[in-house]
This record gives sequence, C-alpha cells and structure tokens, in this order.
Amino acid sequence: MLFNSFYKWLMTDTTNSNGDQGQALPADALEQLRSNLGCSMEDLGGLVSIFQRNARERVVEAFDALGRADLQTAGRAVHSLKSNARTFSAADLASLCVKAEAAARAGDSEPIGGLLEQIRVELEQVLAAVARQLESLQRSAGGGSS
Amino acid sequence: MEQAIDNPHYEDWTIQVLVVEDDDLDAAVVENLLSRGKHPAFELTRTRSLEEALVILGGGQIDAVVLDLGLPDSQGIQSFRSLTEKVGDAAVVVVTHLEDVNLAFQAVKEGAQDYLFKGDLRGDLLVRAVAYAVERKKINKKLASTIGELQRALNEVDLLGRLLPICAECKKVRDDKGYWSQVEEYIGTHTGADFSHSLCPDCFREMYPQVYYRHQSGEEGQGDE
Repeated sequence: MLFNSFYKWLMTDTTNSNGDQGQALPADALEQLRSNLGCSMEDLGGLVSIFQRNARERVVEAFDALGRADLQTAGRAVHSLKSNARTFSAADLASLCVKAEAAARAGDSEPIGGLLEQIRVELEQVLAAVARQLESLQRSAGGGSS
Repeated sequence: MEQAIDNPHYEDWTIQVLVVEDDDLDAAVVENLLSRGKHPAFELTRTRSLEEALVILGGGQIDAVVLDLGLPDSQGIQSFRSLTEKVGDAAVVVVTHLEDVNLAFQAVKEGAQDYLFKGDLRGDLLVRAVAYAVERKKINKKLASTIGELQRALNEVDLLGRLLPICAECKKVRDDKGYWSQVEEYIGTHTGADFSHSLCPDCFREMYPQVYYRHQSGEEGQGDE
C-alpha cells in the first residue's frame, strides 16, 4: 500500500489545473520565518529538510489511511501537514488541509480523496518554492560573508 | 541574526523541559527556540506520545512540559488532564493551533501555566514563557503552602473563640467529643502551644507562706537601702 502511494506520487504530474506554477507561498516566506524564529541559516536548512520529508510522509499516510477507510488517521495526517504549512506561510496548502481535516472529523470520506489530490499537487509547488527561496537565501548569505 | 537568550538574573539555572510533540517539524521549531536559551539554559527531552511522557514524568526530574494537545494516543483537553495527574511540580505550557483557543483557555483554567499558538512561536517568546511558567509554578506552590498554614491558624483561632465548657472546680475543659482534659492539655492539643509550669505570686504565698514573706521582706530591705 505504501509503495503504491509513493509510485502514484512519482508518476503524477504536479502542476496545477492551470498548468502553471502559482504563488504557493509569499516571496519572502523563508526570510520571514528565519526572522521570526531568530534562527541561523543552518537551522533554517534543517527545518526545511524536516518539512520536505515530513510533509510528503503525511500525504502518503493520509492516502493510505483513506484507502483503509481510517478517517481518524487521515485527519491526523492532514492536521499535522496543516501545521507544517502554516509554519512556512503556505496559506493555500493549509486551507486545503483544513477542509480535508474537517471532512475527516465529520466522517465524510467522499471529498477527502479529491482534497488529498489537490494537497499533493499544492505541496509539490510549496516544496519547490521553499527550495528556491532557501537556495536564494544561502546564496545571499554566502555572498555577504565573502 | 541568531539570538542568545541571556538574562543574568537566571545565571546557573538549567530548566529540564519535556517536549511532548508528535510532529517532527513542530518539535524541531520548539527545540530550536529553546536551545538558544543560555540564562536560563534548557535541557530538552522529547516524546511523541502521552504514554511516553507519563513514563518520563514518573521519574520526577522535569521542571516544565511543553505540551501539544493533539497527540496520537490522546486528543484535546484529555491530554492535559491525563498529564496533570503525574505532572507533580512541573509547569505546563500548552502549544496549540489558533482555532483551538478554547481548548487552550480550558487548559489554563485547569492549571496550565500558559499557552502559545504554534504560528506565534518566535524569538525569545517561548524561552520567556517556559522560564516564567516555572517561576509561577514555584510561587503558586509557596502560596498554596502559606494558605494552608493560614487556614490552620484560622482554625485554631476559631476553636479558641468558641464557648468552652470548663469545670468550675478543677478547671478541666470538655472537648467536642465529651472528654474532659486539663486546660493546658486541651490548648496544647488544639493549638500546638507549649506550657512551662510556674507559680503565680498568689499561689506561691498560699502554698509557701514562710518562703514568700521572707522573700518579700528581703526585697523591701534591699529597696530601702
């Protein structure tokens, strides 16, 4: 089941329905996060790594739980992903998670599959944007110190 | 950019913190913020479930708990209630989502020292929240102890303020269970006061008149000189 979910992930196009890469998070999201937490570039890189791994695991977990009709576990997975999304100011991703979590809590499995698919697509865009912003910040920090 | 929380008032103070958080990213944010505390410094232990947390709290070494209310084995206010049964003297700071504000308030009403929203964790906010929560918990404990002492004192005052039945002849006092005891025994039992026995001048004169009058005449003689 877990392998099937990963396979499905890898094989699916992650561009949104318009076929473009929308604004998945504010342009200064990572800079803002670093400023708010007061953390170093190294620490920020560590948080991004955890987010990249954690968020994908939560989506796979939610898909698998839905396949077993285990809405409680699916709801917990999107609840956790919602928290991660908010940490990185990914408002659209968080909003999708809120909807999926509410449906799971209400025991309504019908919309969850579609929402998880949207979450999966949105997450990949968020992760791409996070990676770009981190690279940009690291470049700036490296340039500033030389 | 990197901030070191450094308050000389808290020098030589290390706070043992248990972080109860199942999400790796949320836990990493909390650990990152607390790891920058210098004075006070924080030693962190992390658990992912309430069950693990209860085991660690049983060891009695924890000063503060940073508690996520949404855990795999416990949800909402029940997480806090289960924890409080074993938390002992440790302060609890609840960390939750903005939409769970009612839960956070409820936890504070039931004894949590503070709550923070996950989206608001920044700078030294968490460091101060945890340090002050530990201070408040200590003060509350001291306050509760003082209130207990005052209550006991008030009970004694109340006891002595009542009408006491006393024997007109032997001066024994009757307690609320009907037993008669010496007045010093009664007061000693109910107030903790100690008695040292002596003789007042009138009894002294009645019991030992020769000694009394010799003593009196000696004092007068000395006073005339």
